[in-house]
Amino acid sequence: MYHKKRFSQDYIIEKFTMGKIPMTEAFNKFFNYHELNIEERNENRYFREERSLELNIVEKKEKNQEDREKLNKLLEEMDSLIGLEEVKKIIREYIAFIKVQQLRERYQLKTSPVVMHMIFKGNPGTGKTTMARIIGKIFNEIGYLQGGELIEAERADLVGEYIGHTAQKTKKLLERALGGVLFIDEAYSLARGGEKDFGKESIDTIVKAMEDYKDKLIIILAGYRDEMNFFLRTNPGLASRFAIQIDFPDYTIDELVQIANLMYKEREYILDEKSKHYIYRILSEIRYKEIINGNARTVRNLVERSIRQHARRIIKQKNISKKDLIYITKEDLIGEEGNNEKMPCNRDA
Amino acid sequence: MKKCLVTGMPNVGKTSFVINFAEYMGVKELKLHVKQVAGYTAINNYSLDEARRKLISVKDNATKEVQLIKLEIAKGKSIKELQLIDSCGLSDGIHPDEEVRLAMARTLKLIRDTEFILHIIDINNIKKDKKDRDILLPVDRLILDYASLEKRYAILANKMDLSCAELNFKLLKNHLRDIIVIPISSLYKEGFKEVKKMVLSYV
Repeated sequence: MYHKKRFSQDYIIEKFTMGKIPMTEAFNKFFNYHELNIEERNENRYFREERSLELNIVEKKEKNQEDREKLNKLLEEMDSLIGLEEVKKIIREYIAFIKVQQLRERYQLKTSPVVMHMIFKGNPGTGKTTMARIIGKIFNEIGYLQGGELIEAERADLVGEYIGHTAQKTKKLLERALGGVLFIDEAYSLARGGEKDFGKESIDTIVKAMEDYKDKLIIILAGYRDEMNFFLRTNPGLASRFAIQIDFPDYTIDELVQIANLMYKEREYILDEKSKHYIYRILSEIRYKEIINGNARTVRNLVERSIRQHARRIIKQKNISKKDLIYITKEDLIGEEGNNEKMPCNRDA
Repeated sequence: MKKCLVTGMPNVGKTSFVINFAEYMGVKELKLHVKQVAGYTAINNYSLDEARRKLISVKDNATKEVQLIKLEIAKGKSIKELQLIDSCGLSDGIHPDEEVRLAMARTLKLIRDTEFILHIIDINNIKKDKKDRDILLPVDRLILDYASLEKRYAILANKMDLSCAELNFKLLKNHLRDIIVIPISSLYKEGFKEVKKMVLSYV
């Protein structure tokens, strides 16, 4: 990353003439231009993995093709999320597992029930909700769920005001979520009030529903790591019922930079050479100060603010070219002087 | 002197465009400056027919050297010079021949250093079957993305004389709204008027 530009360009040319990298890669790297071009390296990965399964299926080939393309797109969407390798691996495992179960059913072999309830532990902004949404779509696509909607809920949606009200309220919500994913954020708050709190009633209802609607509903409980661990300890049956417990680790700084690049790419902006290095600096400084807040959401705020700054800077120019409209410079990241929008490092680099 | 690079994928008609365009611009005898690998420039003289016979080939990557043609263009009362640079075509993947790879690397450097790029696309060679995907081939897309942003740039849609070209041209035009696309047929010298206009605006 810190090579001199010319040097690295010569290096790429050399690699290309030696026949080590293909044209497209050489072109992208040579012009330092890979941000806007869609990388297709994840394409067809799923095909390869699943081919052994496909051999058995002869009928309904065309429909399968269509379905698989949809599924591929969803998996691509999942792969485009940065980091979270463990989660992706687990999801792939379960997709394969469910598919095998479906195939076994077709040949009238014994099948084992698939229970997909999950617990997500991690700090805010580590991708829990995003992942839940994609999971809903994927399992809807392979036919495990019907409807596939993600319903987000929190304590207030589940717990009622008087005795007997909570169970009804929770049940209603569960029925609404049937065929989809029920995502309960900050689930530990259900156990916070102690013995007499209505939250307990809600938990009991949920636990019962998990048994009743085993294969019609995915319940995901999410929250901070320590609080969730405490929550699981309060109700001994709970931990064993959630087979899948996934940790969402904090992003590393490299991953945060990748996320920032991706966000710019989605919005069709590019960081120029200087700001590319500078964003590293900003993010590591944020991370150093406040671990909990230094995650994807912070990056999004940073990106959005820099885009606003970019607009403010650009509008003053006389001639605005396409290039100006695309490139984000270091000044945009720093922000304007006297702009007190909580800038992490106004000092010069 | 202004330079203009003619680039594109192999076998789209770069060399034939250069020769025929030179003829269209009034060149009687072709003085081809060929840059040798050793560093010096050789000047090869061809008559136009001879050039067509010797330089244009049906094979991929027939042109390996960087070939320059100097054009004199009358603009108003003054005469401007323009170097038309013909280069090796860029193909996807890793080419088995090292010589060709070297030539492609030279083209890459030329793309970086030249201000004015004419990108030739074989109009019959665009993807039509998938709806939402890109209709350009990956290498073409790369050149377009880079050059349309950084350089003065136009796409020449070659081989317009073939039968299904009209349809494809409409597709392409719809797809690339903010980019200059000129339909030409370098074999029959059609559409050169627009190219000349474009070149004149540059020199």
